[in-house]
Amino acid sequence: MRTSVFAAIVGVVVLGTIGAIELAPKLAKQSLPALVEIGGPFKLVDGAGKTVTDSDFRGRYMLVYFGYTHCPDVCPTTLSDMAGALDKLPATEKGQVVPLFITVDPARDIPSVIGDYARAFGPEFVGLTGSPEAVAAAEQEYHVYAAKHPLAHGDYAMDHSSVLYVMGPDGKFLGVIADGTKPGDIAARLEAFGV
Amino acid sequence: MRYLVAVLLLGGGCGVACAAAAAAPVSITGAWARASLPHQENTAAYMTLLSAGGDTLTGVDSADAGMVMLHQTTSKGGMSDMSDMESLALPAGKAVALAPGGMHLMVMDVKHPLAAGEKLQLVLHFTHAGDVTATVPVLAATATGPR
Repeated sequence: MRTSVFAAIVGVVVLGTIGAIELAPKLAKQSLPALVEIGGPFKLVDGAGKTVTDSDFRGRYMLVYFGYTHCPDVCPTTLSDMAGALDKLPATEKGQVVPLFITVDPARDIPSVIGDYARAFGPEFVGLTGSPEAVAAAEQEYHVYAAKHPLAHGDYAMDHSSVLYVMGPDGKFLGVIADGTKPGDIAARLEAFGV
Repeated sequence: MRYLVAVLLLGGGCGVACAAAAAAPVSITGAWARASLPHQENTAAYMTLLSAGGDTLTGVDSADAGMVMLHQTTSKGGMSDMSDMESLALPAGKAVALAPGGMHLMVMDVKHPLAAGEKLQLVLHFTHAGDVTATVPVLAATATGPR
């Protein structure tokens, strides 16, 4: 029940933002202080333990997905779809897109784990983690919901927002792509965003 | 016993073929498992189950893994969560798909990393069909299903 309430809130925020962005040109002359901004600065750590910030990717599109490596189903499925989408783009376009996998489970996803995991989907994939505070800050910038969910055998899963965020070469939010979108459709959406 | 009676009623007395059907009345098709990802002891397996007479999957074991759990991923409104399922009902004659982003067998504590091209041995426990062994091909980590 709590999950569905969160889902509804996230849905409203995301859809409301998309609506607001589409309306923005019409409302350009009015002030829009309430517009929700998705995405923003982050300071995380890559697989080599090197500090990485959002500005390191300026000039390229970021395709951002939040998840965790102990997730056996939806995360590898979505990352596979991302890899499939990038493979459908011509090489010059593919080079303009950086696929980022940001953990919502920094306790288990230490740099080497998230880095190796992300690269299993392609050499261009960047896995990012950080301190719990740094990850929480990135989640907040992207309006990502993540929470621990105990499983029967003493392990835990993470409930998490599962959408792809597309950020432009200037770092600004362009839109979201639902998880479960087929690779060909993800590629078409990326091209529609200007890749 | 009750199940045998049901099979005989459905099959209308077809002798040897029915005996074979009674021995393995749940068909498992399109099965595959995702190759282990780096540092991961867990992976997922997928398949389509079909029982002519209706059955219930009550558990799964594997010689290749410490534990196999039946899980359901729910994706709704941009949120994803994963929950345990106690059992899975197979309605008579209706195929039930375990597929990426939905129900899956979570294969936990694999005894060695599963590489693409290997086979994963599973034993599925059904209320009526008993134990059914499945030899599941392991596909690349980036696979989306059997071709």
